[in-house]
Amino acid sequence: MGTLLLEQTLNGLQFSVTLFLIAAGLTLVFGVMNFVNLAHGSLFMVGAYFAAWFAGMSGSFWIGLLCALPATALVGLVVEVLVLRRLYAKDHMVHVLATFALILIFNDLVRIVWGPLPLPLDLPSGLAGAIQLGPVPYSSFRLVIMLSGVLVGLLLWLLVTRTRMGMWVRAGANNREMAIAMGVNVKWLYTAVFTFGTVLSALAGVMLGPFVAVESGMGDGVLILAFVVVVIGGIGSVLGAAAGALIVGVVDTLGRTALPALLSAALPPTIATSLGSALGSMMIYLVMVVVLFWRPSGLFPANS
Amino acid sequence: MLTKKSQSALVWIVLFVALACFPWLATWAGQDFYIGVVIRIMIFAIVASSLNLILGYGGMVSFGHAAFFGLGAYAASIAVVHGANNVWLVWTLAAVVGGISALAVGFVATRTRGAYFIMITLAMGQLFYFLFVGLRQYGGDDGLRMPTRPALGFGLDIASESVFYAVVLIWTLLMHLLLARLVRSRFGLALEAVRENESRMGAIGYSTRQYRVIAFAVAGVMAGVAGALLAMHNQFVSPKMLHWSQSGTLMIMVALGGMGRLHGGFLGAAVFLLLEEVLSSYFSYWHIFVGAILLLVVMVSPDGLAGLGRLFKRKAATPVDEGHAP
Amino acid sequence: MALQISGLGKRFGGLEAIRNLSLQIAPGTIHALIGPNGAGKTTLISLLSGFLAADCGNIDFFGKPIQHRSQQERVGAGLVRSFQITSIFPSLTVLENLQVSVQRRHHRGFGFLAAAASDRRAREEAATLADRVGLGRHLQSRGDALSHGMRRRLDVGLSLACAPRMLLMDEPMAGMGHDEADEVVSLIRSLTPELTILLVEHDMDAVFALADRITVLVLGAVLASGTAQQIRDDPEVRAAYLGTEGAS
Repeated sequence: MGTLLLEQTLNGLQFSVTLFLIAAGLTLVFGVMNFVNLAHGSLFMVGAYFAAWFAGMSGSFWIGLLCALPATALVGLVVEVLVLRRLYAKDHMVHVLATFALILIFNDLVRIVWGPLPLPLDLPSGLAGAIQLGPVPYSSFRLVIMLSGVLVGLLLWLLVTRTRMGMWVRAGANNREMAIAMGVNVKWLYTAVFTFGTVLSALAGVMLGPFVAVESGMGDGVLILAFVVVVIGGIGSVLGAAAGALIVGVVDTLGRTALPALLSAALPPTIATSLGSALGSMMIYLVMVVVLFWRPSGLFPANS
Repeated sequence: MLTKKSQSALVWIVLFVALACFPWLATWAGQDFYIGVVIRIMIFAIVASSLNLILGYGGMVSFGHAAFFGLGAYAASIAVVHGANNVWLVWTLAAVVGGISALAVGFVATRTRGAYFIMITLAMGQLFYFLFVGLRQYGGDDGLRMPTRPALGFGLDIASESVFYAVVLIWTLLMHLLLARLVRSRFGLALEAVRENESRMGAIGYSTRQYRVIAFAVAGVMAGVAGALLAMHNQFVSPKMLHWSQSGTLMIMVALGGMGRLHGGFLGAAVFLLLEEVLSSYFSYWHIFVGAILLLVVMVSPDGLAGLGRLFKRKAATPVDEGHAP
Repeated sequence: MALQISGLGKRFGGLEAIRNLSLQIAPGTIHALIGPNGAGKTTLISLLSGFLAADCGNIDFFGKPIQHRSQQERVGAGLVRSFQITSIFPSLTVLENLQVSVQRRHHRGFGFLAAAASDRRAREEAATLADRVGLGRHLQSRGDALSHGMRRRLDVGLSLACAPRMLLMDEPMAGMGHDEADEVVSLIRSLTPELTILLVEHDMDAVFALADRITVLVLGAVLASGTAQQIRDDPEVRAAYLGTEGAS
């Protein structure tokens, strides 16, 4: 039980990192442009597809990664310029509808381009093994994911708090009118924030690719969780995204794995598995409802 | 010249007559299959209209509406599985379940605003979804069959497709009349004003939260009944009916048909389902077309298809001439 | 007296926003409140409307003390505030805007099945109010199709729909062009003597055109109070506020 718990906690942390990468871009877009972007999960999916494609052609995971990021960034840029720009001024309902439309489009687009079957994305050969962490042998690749996520988090924190552009982003998240009044080139800033968020999301997709099926619709489940992260953490705040991701990642993973195990002590196995699994999946939404009841703007909102 | 209200009533009478004649026409033309399609359209017209009340008239972006739809369907199916054989009882149960759950969700969600509201409704919808996924004794992920349709009484056999069609048609008419009455009432006017400017309504003395929660509950009742009807139509229900993507589909219908317009739900359901029917027979990947059409509609006409005609008039309108103060 | 304020005080942490303020407003008159930015004018309006609670002092409204009453209660008693930023219902028509405000007073319940179009009393009163504010010929125009000045008049109409005895108007001229401002001035003047008005304003032309009495507020306390002429001639006021603008 102890090793299971340790392993699942580590998996939870790794999932948290993935969620953080997706949520960070989402919360910044939300905070700076006040834009609800449901298509964020689609860019996660496109990133995974590009990586699988390039990796498949070149035989190297790393080439897949290096090519997927700019390719996805380009797709994100095109979407932002052609579609999203016209929508920033409109209300949330329009954002939700338009980006939901994009989800539909992208889900079919990837199947048209790459076929209906999932694409394989293999672990990089150098990291396919495991490292002994105390009693538990843990996948080296998962550890690399966690490490890179923390690095990206630090980088993001530095960017947002130490650079001039970061200052603009924080100003924008805090007070849009003020930022505009200060002479910030809003159009360019928006495009930059969006593209940056796209790259982070794509990175998450590439890193998660070897563990899940790279297929149409893979971004949808993760999108919802990312939104839960953003809402729990507080809109517009990178710190909030980190805190939220930690909570969601760990609670969700432990909930879905530990709960059935716990319940099987008291209930017959088939019921325990399905009930436990369902309760586990519900956990994170319950947590969100509780957090919002206690703090209606999330834990660390940008404009507090 | 007929008033707007009379025009609207005329459209509905013509539509009702056309729909009433449809089954005979379809059978005569050998296209029985389409009777089922039209039944589906009518059922979705009810649930889309119920969402229109919250979304279009109430201005609340609820991303969990499919949950009330699914809850009504499950309430009906579970009741029948446990031996209920009276359709009136089953409908009442579905309505109550839909209404109470919507009341609860509405109460919690109206504590928040904007994006948080969207997320809470989505989360609560997902809670219900996972609840049914986890309930193995009612099928879980595989879904639940409804062994027979509960009896209608009056010597009518509800298992017969034409009787069921008539039942659904009458429900559609009733629901539409209810919605029309509601949105044209003092309550409806106040609800729209709350959508437009909640703080002013508060300053005038309205308890704005009450109006929102009540709208939620009414929409929940309508969605619940529609859910029961769908469960009876398919004699099957699955958790997918409560998934957030189904809520998204309902939102698409309202957006296409026209938010805040009386016929929005009906028009949107008809257009969406017919598109689905036609496109899916030609293309394996037809969602891309739906997405493209939705995107176009959203970007060009904020009032959906029903608003397209208005769009040209409004673009041409100039600001009103100055009046004179006394 | 329509409004009798004595010894009113309000602190925000270390800042004393309103200091020992006393003021009287006679019924049916227009009383203007002027002063430099930060003098406490909006704070005073908020204290009077009930949005903020005073730390000390008394507020008597037509003889009845209201300093402990809620906003809703004060509105019910007839003390209504209008806001700096025009606040109407954009996609509703002028008639609907006014009707929804009026129907609150006429009916207790929600009116789920009572057709709004059949609410004759409310419609008639709404139409009368529209005439009152000069929008009688625009009943079917949408709020967002109106010009800035007309929206302001509709906003005043919405305040009137609460059947007030006294209006607290916070910078009604804000953002008005010259012609629009004239119309709003005429409208405000036409509201008396049935209504009493306390007007916060920076537009000196409007103030001198409308006010029966003027109070000058500086740093949360009354500097001077009197007729327009008295205020214009008061040397302290000139020094503190009118300054180089001068009284035209």
